[in-house]
Amino acid sequence: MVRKLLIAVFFLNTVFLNAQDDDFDLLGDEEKQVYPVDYAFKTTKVVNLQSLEITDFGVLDFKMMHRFGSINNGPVEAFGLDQATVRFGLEYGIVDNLMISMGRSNVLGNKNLDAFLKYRILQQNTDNSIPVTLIALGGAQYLLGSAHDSKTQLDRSSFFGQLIIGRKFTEDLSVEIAPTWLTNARNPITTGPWTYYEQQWALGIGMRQKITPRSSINLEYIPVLTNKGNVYNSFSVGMDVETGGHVFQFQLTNSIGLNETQFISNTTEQWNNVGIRLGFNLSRVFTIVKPRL
Amino acid sequence: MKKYSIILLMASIFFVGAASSQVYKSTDAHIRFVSKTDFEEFEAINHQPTIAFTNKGKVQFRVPVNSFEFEKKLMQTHFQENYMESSKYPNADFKGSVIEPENFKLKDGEQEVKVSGVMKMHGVEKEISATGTIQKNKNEVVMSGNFDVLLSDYKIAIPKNNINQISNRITIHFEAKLEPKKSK
Repeated sequence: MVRKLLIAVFFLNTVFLNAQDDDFDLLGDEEKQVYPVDYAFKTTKVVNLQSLEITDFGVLDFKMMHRFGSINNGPVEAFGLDQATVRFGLEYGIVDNLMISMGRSNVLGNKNLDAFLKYRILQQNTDNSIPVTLIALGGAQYLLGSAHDSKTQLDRSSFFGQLIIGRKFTEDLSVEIAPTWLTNARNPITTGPWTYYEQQWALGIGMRQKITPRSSINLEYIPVLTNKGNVYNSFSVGMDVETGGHVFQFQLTNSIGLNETQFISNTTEQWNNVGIRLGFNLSRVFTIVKPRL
Repeated sequence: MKKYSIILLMASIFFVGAASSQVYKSTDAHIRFVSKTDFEEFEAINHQPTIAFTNKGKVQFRVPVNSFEFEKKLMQTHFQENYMESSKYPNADFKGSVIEPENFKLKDGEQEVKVSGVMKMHGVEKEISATGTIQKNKNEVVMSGNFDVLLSDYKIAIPKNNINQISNRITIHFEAKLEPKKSK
């Protein structure tokens, strides 16, 4: 009897263990792969502020920025629609993690050239051994045109440096802060024989919240920490819409300038008395260097 | 009697062990997919899949979606972020077995096979089958083949704007070199 039972166990065991074969796993547990966290923003800008994104190597991004006049200009100026401030720019990924941007803009009759370099030092990854993305950028702006005829070469130049620290918290929510240093050619300070340029510190804060997979609401606030009360802090509300090869950004902002030294430290209108304007940014990317697959 | 039973039990496990199959694991594997419409054709390549195969014809694929590379970076962005949602569904998996020829046994030389099983992609499981060849040369096994998937089967929607650029039917090609997996 006992022997019969054991023989039964013998066969059952074989059958049972073999039956498990149907739900097999040949690869075993996966080695945990670590990836960089990409796509924290739809494009390289939040609204005016630079975002955590960087143009990929070999990719050219054509940027057009446009701001109407402020709404409180009233009906004679069609609530700002009669005026236009425009920047045309090109961005290019020189190598991985480094891009250059150059642009031409007009602001209130001043014509500007600007350029900056943006470098990604660290990129957030999926196992959080790098919890944040860290970006450094620095650039210059040069005033062209007659509005500053009396000025010397240096008088026409402004410079800025910025660090951006940010994190993509969820698929939908990304937040960044951007401590910024800048000089301002508009406000030379003369002490004795020395003339130097007013320096400012600011802290940009930007975020985006996706509302659909292809659109998001963006907020941006850039308090000037060394503000002596002569300028207002830039605040913008924007919306990103991605369609195929384009990203459209629509916004309401109290800033008129289109490069860092202007929109951070030369914002002279405020939300309180509807000194805000409608604007849009357009981004179109082209692949210049095809990667080897 | 007790001693006897333990011996028998161990013997039964030993027999099961002896009946288990040799597993081959990929050392070099590539997956490429092609989308072709009347207006646009593009492809993406993945060099990071792992593939396992047994001499009795069981097959398993694991493909990290993050590792697909495109010629156009923007396409890669959209593929990862909007279509495959790779941060939510990091892998595409397939488990199946050779159904033709019946009672498949791996042997030297080339064999035409048909494989059937379940593919899990974008969080959706779906029965598929593929044809391919398996070639065994001493200790090395080379396999290749292709199959089609419909994006709509995996709840991957193509927006109206892109319906001319992206095909709902995607052809997937795979090739891999495999070597016997050493038992632990």
